[in-house]
Amino acid sequence: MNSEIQHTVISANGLSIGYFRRKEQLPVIEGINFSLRQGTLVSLVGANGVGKSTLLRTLSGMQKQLDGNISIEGKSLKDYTPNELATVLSVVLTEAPVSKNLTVTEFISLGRQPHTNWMGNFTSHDKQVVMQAMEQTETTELKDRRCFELSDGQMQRVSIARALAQDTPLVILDEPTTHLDLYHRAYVLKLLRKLTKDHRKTVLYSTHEIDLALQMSDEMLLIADSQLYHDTPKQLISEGKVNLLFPENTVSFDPESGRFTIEN
Amino acid sequence: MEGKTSFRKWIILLFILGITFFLVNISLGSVAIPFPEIISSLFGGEVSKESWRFIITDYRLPKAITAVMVGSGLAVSGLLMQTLFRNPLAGPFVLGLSSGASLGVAFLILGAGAFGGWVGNLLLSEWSLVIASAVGSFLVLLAVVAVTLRIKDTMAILIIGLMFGSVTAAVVAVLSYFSNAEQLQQYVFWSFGSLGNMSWYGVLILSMCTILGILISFVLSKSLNALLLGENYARSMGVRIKRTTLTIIITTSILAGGITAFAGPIAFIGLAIPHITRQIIPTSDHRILIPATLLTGAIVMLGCDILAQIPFSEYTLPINAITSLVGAPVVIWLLVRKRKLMF
Repeated sequence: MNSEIQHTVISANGLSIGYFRRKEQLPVIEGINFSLRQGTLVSLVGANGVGKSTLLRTLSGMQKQLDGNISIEGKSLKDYTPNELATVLSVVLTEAPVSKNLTVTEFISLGRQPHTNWMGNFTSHDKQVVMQAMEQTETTELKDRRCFELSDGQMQRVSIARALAQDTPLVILDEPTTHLDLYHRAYVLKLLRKLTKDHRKTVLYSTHEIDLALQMSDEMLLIADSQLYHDTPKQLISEGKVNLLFPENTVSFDPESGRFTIEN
Repeated sequence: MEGKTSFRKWIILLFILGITFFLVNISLGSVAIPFPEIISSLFGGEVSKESWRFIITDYRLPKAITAVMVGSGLAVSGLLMQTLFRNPLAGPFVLGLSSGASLGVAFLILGAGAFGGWVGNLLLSEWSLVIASAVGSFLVLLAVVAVTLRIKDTMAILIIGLMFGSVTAAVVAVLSYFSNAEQLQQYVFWSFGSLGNMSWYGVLILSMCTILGILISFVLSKSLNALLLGENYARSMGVRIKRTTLTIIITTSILAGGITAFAGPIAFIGLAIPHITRQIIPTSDHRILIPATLLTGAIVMLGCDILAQIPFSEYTLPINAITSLVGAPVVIWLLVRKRKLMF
């Protein structure tokens, strides 16, 4: 391990996430501590409604934290201006672009916004980054298509390409494999892994495909019983944390096969 | 966004078309004036009849400039609102902006009688019409945005716009019950919409509002492009959502409010022109769409004005009727042909 691998990209200290209702705090998860290093693929798993989206929204600055501190690239999230934050963190959301009439090139090029001048004019470097993003995601041949003409799998690749064009050390994806067939799920995860290994990016994604996540990620954030556990998939399995994901007597995890089975 | 250069020739073509329509607009009217005489009166040359020069410089020229300002300003405000509300049906008229402006003007014209004397005259000056109409449309837009923040359903926003229209009609009915015939007539004529009868001073104020609004729109174009992906994506790319939303709202109320004050409520330009422009130039990039939309708006408005005065006759139709007759079929045609309005 060289020193670059030890470089921390994002960390949370005593973080509480949740909602404000009027002045009252409604915490979802409290006391979150973790730090993610450069070049790691991290999956976030948990049952529906445990706070996966809340955590991702809080980490990406879309929602206020209740307490504690988040730091990205050694700087507190609160101290970032919106544009500065956009140069270190990009997101891939579940929502499709509002304007489905955008061409793929237009959509991906918008990722360059934090780096361009006030009119959004492109330099040759910007064009090059966009071209590279298309090559990495194999979307070059789609470049003149409009977003409404794309399949779910193609749309997901294009969305990832947009985040790559934003060229940030940290990429956060909200359920990037939902609605995709098995081939595209594997494709997307392999792509994310390639980005962490070849391009030294830190990728955090939420997912419901726990068996795929156990196979494919370097580390996992696992939410169960209002607690967040951070460890390698191996460790989480051997400590039995994976079994905490779902209530007893519904599904159980078999450490031997690495699969979930439905209990009768 | 790239691929700018291929659209540049369209912008140039639209610009040339705009100049042509401008000249045709000035050439046509109830009095037939030979074309060379028109050119020489425009550039201060010799004109055989002094009355011709007067018609050109003090009637047709301000009217044509008004048409350009009204058409381009309303079209750009429609474009801004379609992007802000993520709704292809948004426009100053549909969202109740024009109703708000009408309400402001109704209060002013019909309420001025209550003050009488010089206060009444002061209230009816050109600036106060602009302010009343801009305030009216600004208040409606604020209400629409307040609703948008609570309700994510864009259909609800359109219905609220329609409701504002009904409320305006009701309040105007109440006001007119208490006002005299002269004031009522003044209001009714204002609500027909009109590009003519503008003093050069009025044209100046209108042009200032429109040019200011359009300049701000150009500055906003990068953020508008980001908003095409939705608010969350735009925020993740560094756009300050609240500030941008407020700027867009202020800009549209300067544009729609100022224009409605001078020209009356003019329907369909704001809604239809951005869609027509997207048919001509298939892009979503606001850096191209804004100039293209304002040129198309100016061309269509000049064209509507040519139709409204029924060339070589003495009749002039209300401009509002013409824009509706042209705009409504275009929207229907787009819906039928594309099955879906996209932006």
